[in-house]
This record gives sequence, structure tokens and C-alpha cells, in this order.
Amino acid sequence: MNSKKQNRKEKLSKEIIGEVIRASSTEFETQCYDLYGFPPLGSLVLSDDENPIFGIVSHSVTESLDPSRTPRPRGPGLADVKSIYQESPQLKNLLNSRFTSITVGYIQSQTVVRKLSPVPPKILSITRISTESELIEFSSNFDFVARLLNSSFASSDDVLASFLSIAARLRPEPDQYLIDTGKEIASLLPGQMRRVNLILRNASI
Amino acid sequence: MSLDLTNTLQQVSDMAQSISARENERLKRIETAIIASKKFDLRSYESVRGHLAELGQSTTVINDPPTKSFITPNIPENLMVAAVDGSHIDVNRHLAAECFLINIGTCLIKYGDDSYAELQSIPTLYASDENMTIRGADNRFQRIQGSVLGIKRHIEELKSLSNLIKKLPKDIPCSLFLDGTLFPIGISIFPQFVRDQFFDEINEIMNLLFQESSRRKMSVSAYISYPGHNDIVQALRLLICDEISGSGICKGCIEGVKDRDLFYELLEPGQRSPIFVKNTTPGHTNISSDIAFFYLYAGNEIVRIEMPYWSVEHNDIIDLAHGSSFDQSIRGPGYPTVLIEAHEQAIVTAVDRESFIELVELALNSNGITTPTSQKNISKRIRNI
Repeated sequence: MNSKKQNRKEKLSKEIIGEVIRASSTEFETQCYDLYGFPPLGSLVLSDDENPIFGIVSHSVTESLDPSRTPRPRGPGLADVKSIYQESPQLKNLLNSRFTSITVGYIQSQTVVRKLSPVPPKILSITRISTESELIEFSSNFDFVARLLNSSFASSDDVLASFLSIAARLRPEPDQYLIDTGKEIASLLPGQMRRVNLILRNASI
Repeated sequence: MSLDLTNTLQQVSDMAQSISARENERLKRIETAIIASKKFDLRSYESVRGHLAELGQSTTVINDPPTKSFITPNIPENLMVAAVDGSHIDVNRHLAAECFLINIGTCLIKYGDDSYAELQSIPTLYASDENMTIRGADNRFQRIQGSVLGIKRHIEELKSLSNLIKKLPKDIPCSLFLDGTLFPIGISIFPQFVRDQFFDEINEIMNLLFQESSRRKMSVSAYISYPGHNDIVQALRLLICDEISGSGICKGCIEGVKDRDLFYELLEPGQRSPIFVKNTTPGHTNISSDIAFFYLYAGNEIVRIEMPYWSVEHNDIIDLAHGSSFDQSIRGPGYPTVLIEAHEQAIVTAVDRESFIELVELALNSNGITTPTSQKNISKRIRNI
């Protein structure tokens, strides 16, 4: 293996954050290896190394691994949350962080397809954060926007805004990117200018 | 029909009234026990102990008056705390396969710099004739099930505790915890060859713990919540009860009082009692059955901490057991965090038990073995009207 390939492999393995624990045609849920190790809302992630599927992080949760054991307050008296975890290290073993990603595309024959994948990711597939080049490539076409706008997720507009904000930052002219995306959103939401404006306002850097 | 609660309620109510009527008497006995403990004379007690030892009777060694108390010592900032707990699925004669399962839960917590925790659950299935039976030299044998399995599990917990030590760094003090008594209760009712087998195993583990304790700063504490023991009350009775001293009949004195009732009045939160020692054989020490113990006001209740007898010679080990037991009970809160987590790893729920049975039946079926079960078992699964 040449060193360039080796470096890329090492970089990708650093971005692996968890494994899929629930998957359907429209979304997949990842359990993080590290407590609070989920990516920010709107991040682009990939799952399944055999059949890579793109997802946009739409919902994150941290809770007890055992539903019958709920966390209890440790205070008053402790200075900050860091000292609570320092004093009760077992919390890291008893809590878990998970996030759900809306499926927005997949890779077929090294080409990005911005449609639902024919099959969902396999359970226990690894999930990793996309690289910058993958994110730029994926967000260069707006076919995915309709998937997010029509998602059954309650806050899908906010998820879209977060994604656009992340994607815009990677471009030399972020405002132009948001204007172009705004045109696509407006065409998909005729007569809903207030909603379009709200999405763009939340996406603006 | 399930339990008739209306009918039960009346009986429960009668019981509560009866207990309430006896409560004043109980409080008087506790008061008498407190007075007796304040007047406790070590020399007189030693004299009585000596007489009883000549008769082969074992009594609790008391070197400090029971009223003496010790404040909570500081514990090291960097400390390893570890605990083991177990549960089991007993042999089920309605199952096609004769087997039992012991599940050992362990918890290890490092406090201080770079704190971390490790939780583990280790199930072991016992299904062969060899590991389901204890055999004596004269072809006698004892199947391991019921109360024998309870003791087997206790010994497996002790083994896991001694194995857990290997994971602990030698340069950091460690405090090990067990749930309940240090030595299993009820061994004496079994035949000699069963007792010998159990004692041999315990002896081996305790020797390992003893050797390890010479290499590192380490305490072993068996934590008994809401203890029902009366060793100290019995010791007090030796000095105040006419019947026990042989000069008359017992007029009630302090019979029925528990040690926890006494120390609840004598100790403040965080304080411990003196160390007491229980020898199984008068005048001899036995590594596999002798214990040192103290009572601790753990904040919400009096608990009994049992330690291997050699701990009594090391004040730093006693302090470690005292300080870490109190600290853990505060963290719990109420009961040691490390034991709670070990228990959570060990627990076998009703759903787990059902899944285990299904797993056994599936495995047998896939190996071409039919799984007949009793009609009683079938009737429990299919609850027709």
C-alpha cells in the first residue's frame, strides 16, 4: 500500500465514531463509541463500508443504557459537570450517545447518488464523518434538499439549515452557495417564502 | 386466581398491630443493651470466654469496649475500588437438559487522576456431570443445586475477586468489596466431603488474597447491609444474662436485640466500632473461616463490614476498609456504588431466565435432540382458561 493510501486510511479510521444499531430505508441510528461523541446536527456521515450510504445527522440523544435506570442528580455541591464525570467514572459505561441520520444518498461505482439507497446499511456497520472533499462533492448538487424538506422529522428545516451552514463554510464564496441553495429551496416550497427565509436565515454564517 | 389481597390485608394488619405492641419492649431491651455495653468489662469477658473455650465453645474476640468509636479516616486520592457479585439460574428439572448457570458481575473503578471504570459480566454454564457434582472418596456424591449451588456461587465470587486483583496496578491502594458475608453461610449442614471440598477451595482463595495483601495495600470488605447478626449482643449477654452465666433463668434481658440496634445508638455517621474477631475454633486461627468485622454507621444505616482475619493486624488496611466503605456508601447513595454496578452486571432477570431456557431448547433441537418438558411446565407457559 502506498503512503498516500495509508494516510487516507488512517484519516478515515480517525473519523469512525460508532456503529449502526438500527436501520431502515429512510434513516439509520448510530451508537457512538465515546459518550457525547456524536457529530454536530446537520453533519454529513457515511455508513457501511461495503455499500456506503450518506446520512445527515438529524437527531442526537444521550441516555441510560438501561431504560429502567435513570440518571440522578449528583449535586448540589459539585463545581461543574466535568468534576461529576471525574468523580463518577462509571457514568461513561452506563450512558450512551446515539444519533439518527436521514438517508440522503449513497455511492455506486464511485459515483455519488443523491437518492434513497436500495438497501439500508447493515446493522453494526461503522459510521464515520465524511471528509471535506466528500462533503463538498455531495453538497455540490441540490437533489438531496427535497429529501430533507419532505422528511417526517419534526425539525427537518433546522437540520437542512445546519447542513447548509456546514457545507457553505467549506466554499470560497459561502453566501453565493446559500443563494444558489435558496433558489432550489424556493422552487420546492412555492408560496412558502417565510419558511424559505427562515431556513436561509438559520443557515447563514 | 392470584393472591387475594383483601384477605391478606387483614392478616398483615394483625401482624403490624402485634409488632407495634412489642415495640416498647424491644426499645427497653435496646436501652438495656446500651447500658450493658457501657459497663462492659473486658477482663470479666475474657474470663468467661476462657471458660467457654475450655468447653469448646467459640465466642467473639473483643479487645476494645464496644462503646469505643473511630472517626472516618481519609482515603487516598488515587484509589482503585473493585467489587464482585453473582447470580445464578438453578437446575430446572422441567428442562430437557440438566444444567445451571452462574453469572458473575464485576466492577472496577479508578478514582483520582485519569479516573475510569470497567464493568463486566461473565456467565459460566455448568452442564457436565463432572462439574455438576461433588464427589467424596467413598463414592458418595452431592449434586450441585439449590443451597449447594448458593455456596458454589459464593466461592466463584471469591475466585473472581482474587482474579480481579491481577487487573489492578500494584502501586495504587485498592479496596475490594463483596456483597454479603465473607464466608458462605450454611456450609455446616452438608456432609463432611462436601464441606471439605468447599473449605479447600476457600482456603486456596484466601491464601492467594493473603499473599497478595503482602505485596500491595489492599483491603477486602464483605459489606452487609441491614445486618441481622447479634455477635456483640451475645457477648453482652454472657456478662448480664443469669441463664447464660448459669445463675438462674433469663428474665428477658437483651435477647432479640440485633447488633445494628446497639450500634445505631453508639455510633455517629461515618464512625465505626472497634474490630471484633470471630474464630471458628477456640484458640486456633483458620484462614478459610475466621473473620474480623466492625460495624459502620454508613450514613443511612448501620452496616457490618467483614474482613479476612489477618486485616486486624494492619491499622492502615482497617482504615482503608473503613474509609472506602463509607465513601462508597455516600456515593451510592446509601449503598456502595461499586457493589451496585457489580450487581447490575450480575443480575439475571426473569426475561433473561426465559431467554436462557429458549436458548437451551434451541441448541438441543438444532443438534437433533427433542426437548420434552413436563406437563406442569407446559401449563405454565400456555395459560388457557
